Amino acid sequence: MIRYLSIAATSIRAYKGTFVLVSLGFFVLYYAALLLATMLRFGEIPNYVVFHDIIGIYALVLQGTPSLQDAIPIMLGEAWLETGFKDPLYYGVATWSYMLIPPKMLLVAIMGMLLGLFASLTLYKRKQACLLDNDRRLFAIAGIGTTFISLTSATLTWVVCCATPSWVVALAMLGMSASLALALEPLGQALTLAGFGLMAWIICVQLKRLVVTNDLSLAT
Amino acid sequence: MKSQLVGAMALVLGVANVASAEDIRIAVGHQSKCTDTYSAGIILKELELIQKYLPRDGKYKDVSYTFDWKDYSSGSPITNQMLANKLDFGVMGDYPLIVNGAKFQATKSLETKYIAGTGYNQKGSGNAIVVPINSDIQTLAELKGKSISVPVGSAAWGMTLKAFQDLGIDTKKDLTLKNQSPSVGAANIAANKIDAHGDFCPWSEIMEFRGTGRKIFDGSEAGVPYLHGVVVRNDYAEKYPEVVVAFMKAVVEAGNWVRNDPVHAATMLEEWTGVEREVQYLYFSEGGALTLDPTIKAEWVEALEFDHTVLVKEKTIPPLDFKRWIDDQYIRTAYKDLGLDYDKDLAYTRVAKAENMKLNPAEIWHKDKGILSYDSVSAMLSDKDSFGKAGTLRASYVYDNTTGLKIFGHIATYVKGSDGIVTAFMRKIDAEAFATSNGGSLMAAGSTSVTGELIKQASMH
Repeated sequence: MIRYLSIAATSIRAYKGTFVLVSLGFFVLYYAALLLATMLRFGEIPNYVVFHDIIGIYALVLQGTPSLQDAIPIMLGEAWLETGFKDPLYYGVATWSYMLIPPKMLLVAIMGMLLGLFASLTLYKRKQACLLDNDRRLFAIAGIGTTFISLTSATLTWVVCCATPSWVVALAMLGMSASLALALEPLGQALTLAGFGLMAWIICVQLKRLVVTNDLSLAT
Repeated sequence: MKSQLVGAMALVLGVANVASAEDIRIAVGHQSKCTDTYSAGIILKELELIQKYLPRDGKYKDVSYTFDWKDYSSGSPITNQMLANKLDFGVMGDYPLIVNGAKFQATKSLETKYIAGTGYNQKGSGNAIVVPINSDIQTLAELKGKSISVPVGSAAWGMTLKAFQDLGIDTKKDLTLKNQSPSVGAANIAANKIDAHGDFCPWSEIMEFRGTGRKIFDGSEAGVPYLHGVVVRNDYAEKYPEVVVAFMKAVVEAGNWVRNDPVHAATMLEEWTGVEREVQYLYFSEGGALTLDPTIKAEWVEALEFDHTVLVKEKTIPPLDFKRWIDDQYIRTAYKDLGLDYDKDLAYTRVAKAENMKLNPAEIWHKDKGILSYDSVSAMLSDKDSFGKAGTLRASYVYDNTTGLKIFGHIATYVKGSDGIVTAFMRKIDAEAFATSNGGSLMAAGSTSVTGELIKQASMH
């Protein structure tokens, strides 16, 4: 385990720029693409934006919720920023909204860092006197993991589907029937866990191979 | 030095004094675009009715009150905000109410109470399916093979599914069911881009009023009551029961305010919400689709229990203990304090078909003369004097002979009987059946100067 961590740290140090670029890039691109895709899907530019006092909201939730077990999931759903489109033709009803929810942002940031680590490990492995090529299947798995987490981290609302932020809005926007999308909603957590599981697995595979490579290099 | 010390003490005491004077928050989540919620929402806010009844003595002697009104386009976010302790009261429709109760009961430490109604239609009028105004389609059966849109997940969606199921039409195979928001659906109906659109109030009536759509199916035909009501966080109600009673008294007064002068109420509501006064009048005038009865009737509880089973079938929803959730003590106390008889109102249920037929069958909202009531539809249609000038007619209202519902005169189909009596119908097919069985003929649209004027003026909205 310590060797794994050491190799991970070494690869990040060796490719610091790549790690930061991929981690940060994924985070920024994810939220920018989510907003852009929503705007393109509806053909509307956001016409309102609200910043919420998230610390004040957390305090309010804790104050009004005796059980911490209840308070935590409530806090997890609170938004820090909300923007969207209110239809002026029909009394300013918000047709859709895009939200930034801190715990979801944290998940996306962790996902970005995992991708950054994976990229660093891949480059580090290429630089070593590798006995094994980088396995393309790992890239495919990274893609699947990223898709799962990206999809289930979407925090959108749409008046025809969900009035509260939900990841299934993204599915409905992609054309899936709202009934089916809503039926899939409970799978969100499992998909997120599966996404992180896949990412953790491919990183472990890369680390294991690097350990083997290093051992072989030392032996020869 | 001494003066500085006194100053500091005064500051400390001042802070202590401020801290001891409790500030009670009254945070209400309401829906200014949903007509059924007005008697516990926008009316209370604008007329400051709760303030009138707030307790000012005993433990409330030194308290101050802070109001926080938040406006939403649906009930779900209100529930989320109540869970987050940002709202104390919520006003919403039947399905969101159930979700509210169930979501709270699913937690370990929080609950809400359903404490009063705000409006109901005994047969479920409020949701409807609308076709473009010039469409040939008259019945749901004719929608087989066509495209129909509905906001999926809404009460109108539930009604649409049930209506087609009752007809034996498979919504997956026999027609194309699309997912559209109210505004998009209304725009598509106006542009004739969709065969039909199912929606909740006030959208169907707005489409009719604007002359873009025509109802072919009213929610009342499904026969399940449609109601809205008020929920409150239980911890809040236990801490400030007198404030909850004050809220209830304000709800009762709001209902009376509308009933006493529906024209003034409709006018003010248009100003506050943007929903046209002529549409408001259709709901809130005598014989209108909505009642403003805050009592919690046994049949409403049955309807909510039925709605809960629908939600259980459609998606995962936690169980809801209705006995624990429904609490009429606050509204009962409010009635008692106001000297009103709760049980009398509780026992009374307005049935449109039976009671609207006792009212004058036609009304006109004249721009200068106000509401003109007629003892027959033909009297209204022949009142040429009231329409001498263009732009004098705001709207006309008649009752559908089949359901008893109040409808706009310009979208009705009229049958002139052999005895000369004119009868109004919401659907052409009902008018044709009536004409066949009773002897009479359909009046062509615009066949009298008044009906022509009704249609012409409707197209001006």
